[in-house]
Amino acid sequence: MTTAASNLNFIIAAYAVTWIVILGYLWRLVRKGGRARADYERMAQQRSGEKSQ
Amino acid sequence: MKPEGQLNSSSDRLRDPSAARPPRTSIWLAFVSIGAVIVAQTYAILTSPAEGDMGHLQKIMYVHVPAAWMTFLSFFVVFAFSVRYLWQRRENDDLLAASAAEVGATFNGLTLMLGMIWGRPAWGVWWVWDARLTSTLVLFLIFVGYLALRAFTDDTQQKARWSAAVGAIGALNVPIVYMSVKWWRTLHQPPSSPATLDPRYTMGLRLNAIALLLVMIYFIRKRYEIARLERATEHMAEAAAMGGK
Amino acid sequence: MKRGWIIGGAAVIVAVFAWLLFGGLQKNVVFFLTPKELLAKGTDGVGVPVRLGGQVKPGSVKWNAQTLDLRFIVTDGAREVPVHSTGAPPQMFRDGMGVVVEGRFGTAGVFEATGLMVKHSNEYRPPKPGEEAHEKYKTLIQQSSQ
Repeated sequence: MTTAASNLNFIIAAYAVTWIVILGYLWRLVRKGGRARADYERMAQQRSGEKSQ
Repeated sequence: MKPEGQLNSSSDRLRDPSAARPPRTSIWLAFVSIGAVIVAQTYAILTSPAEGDMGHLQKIMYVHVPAAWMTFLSFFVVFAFSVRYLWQRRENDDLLAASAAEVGATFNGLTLMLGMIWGRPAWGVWWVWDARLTSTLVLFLIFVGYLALRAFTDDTQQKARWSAAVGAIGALNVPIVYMSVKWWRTLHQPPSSPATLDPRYTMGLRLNAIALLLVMIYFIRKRYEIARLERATEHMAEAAAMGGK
Repeated sequence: MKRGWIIGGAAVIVAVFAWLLFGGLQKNVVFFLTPKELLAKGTDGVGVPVRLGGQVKPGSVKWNAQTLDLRFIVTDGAREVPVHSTGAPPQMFRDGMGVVVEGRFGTAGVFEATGLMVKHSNEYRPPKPGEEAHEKYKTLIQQSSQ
């Protein structure tokens, strides 16, 4: 393997790791956010239901 | 913060006043920031010529250096809001500091990984225990500890106080990491500046830093939104358990 | 009580940082010695594991691709130390580069390196017109060693 070719592997690895971390964390936030929003809305409705009775 | 609470309780009497509506982060900020990273990386890769010593390996700079900068910035946010929490004891400051800490730790881990990937071909080694690499790892471990502390502490006030102390003091390591290459003799080179960087690399680096800054802002905002939602849900659950008052 | 613990813990961490910054550790965080510093140690610097850093003296590199034997001189501008190493060097290694070698300084006045790292400067510039990127040059050496 020539140096240039093996260097290309390191460059690709660096950009791949960057995207895995960015998109991975983004995915985690979106999922967690959806769950937190749903829990919040459910609890808020339950509370307003209790109070109006 | 106060007007928000008042507005909420008056316009929405049925809802618990402690559950002031958490903010909502637009998904468009995510699309815009991700798009900015794609544009910045493409521009930088297409416009930068091979470097004299490193050849195309120089292109790892466009991800490694902005990741390090965003690490520093995130932890600066942790510092600012931790100090303000200790001073004014506002719950939301604690949640914002914690959100920035998680994002900062993510960028910190990324910086370390990218540094290793760059170091292997450029230096000949994945890792050395010089002052820059060691202090960066220490910074990472402090904030992993910070997040573990939060995960394992149940009492919210205790959690907030302890993590504000750890966050504020841990962030003091940031200037040490930054200055390590100037104060001590390291394998890692000192920071580049426009004077030591060919103009054909400077623009690409700046664009990538701005793009990653947008990503960081989205990450912290979104994480903060989640923390607010979770805390508001907890408060409502507590209030319900107390008898609906 | 709890506040006392926090203040105490904070004081300990601040003390550790202060010690890191101003204390004796400042000497230990020197990652490598320069040729001048190594030679100044005299016999104390001989035979013990140490790192030596400096510039590869231009024109001093002797590389035998058959035996994988590498000899060069590390200089800091003031003093020089000849270094002997075996195995293919990192791809960025070449005349005039910064290097850090790990190993022992032998009694014969030659540094026997067990590890070789390239130290880069903070300058990033494309080769000037007429020059070639060194990557290509190194490719030839690496291929000849296989």
